[in-house]
Amino acid sequence: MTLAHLTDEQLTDYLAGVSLPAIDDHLAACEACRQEAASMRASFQVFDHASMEWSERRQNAAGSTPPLRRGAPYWRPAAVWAVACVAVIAVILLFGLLRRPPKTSPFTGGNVAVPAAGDSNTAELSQDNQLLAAIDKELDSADLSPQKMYGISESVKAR
Amino acid sequence: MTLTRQVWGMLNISELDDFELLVRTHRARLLRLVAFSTGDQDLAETVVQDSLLKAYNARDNFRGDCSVGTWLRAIALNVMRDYQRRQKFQFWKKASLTGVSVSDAAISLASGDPSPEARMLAREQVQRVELALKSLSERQRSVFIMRFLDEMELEEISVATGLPPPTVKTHLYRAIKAVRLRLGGVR
Repeated sequence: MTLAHLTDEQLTDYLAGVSLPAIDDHLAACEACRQEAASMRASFQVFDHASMEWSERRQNAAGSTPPLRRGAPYWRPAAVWAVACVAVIAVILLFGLLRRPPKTSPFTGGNVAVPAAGDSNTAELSQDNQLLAAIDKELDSADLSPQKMYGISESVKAR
Repeated sequence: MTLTRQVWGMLNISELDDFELLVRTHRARLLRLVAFSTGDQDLAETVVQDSLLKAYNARDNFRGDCSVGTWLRAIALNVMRDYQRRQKFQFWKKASLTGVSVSDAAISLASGDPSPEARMLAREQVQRVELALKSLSERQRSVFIMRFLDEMELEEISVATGLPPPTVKTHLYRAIKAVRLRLGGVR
């Protein structure tokens, strides 16, 4: 009499740890099924060790138990750059303001000192302004026009 | 019975309190589950890291209905599916898939019997199981790993995958059939 071997389902039940009397009885009587079940278990065990070793090696390669950290928000690098740029621009503007030339009067061609607020010595400043105005006047008169320089009269010019 | 469950529940909760220890205990197994289910080790690293972070944030919601290991696997499988759903439309990702192979790891196996024959046999066994796993669907691989490598009960696999126990069993049948074929079953 030939013995019907375990079906896939029965073997799965056995490997899955489901204990059924029919399966146990068959395995007790059938050497082939017993060997196959043992062989499969052995293969799973070897694969279990190999795959676990692989996994642990991967873990160790990545650094043992990497700390749990929230993933850096995607906007963080951009925000850091933006803050850095704003800081640089602010420094440049501040530097520019500090190096700005003193205010000059738009009405006097730049040669007149403007008294600072609260300056008590206004008389002295006014004297300086007069002196500067005199110098300007002298310079203007010393600057001959081309007509005067070459003696061209108004009549010639009119002709 | 009730008392035992309560004790386990208390143990689980205390296990969650020391999360660093929990990570050390479960990380490698989670990595293996995801890596061999997806066949992508880089994706597995990301999924596991993300899963542990999710677990850490949700640790107060854990009620101890199942073991911490089962709970972590459920999270990891969900995160894995989310990532794959997102990657489905990123066809260029396919080009950078990093395969998983443990054949090299098998060389250092059989430490109790370091003979070349034992090593060769171990390597062959590993390669056959690996090939058999590749012929399975992803879900079948997950179920297979949880049952035969992580030694989880069918009910636990059912909780982790969200599949009813009969469906888990069906996946296992198919997986066993494929592995049997590769390992050269006697019949």
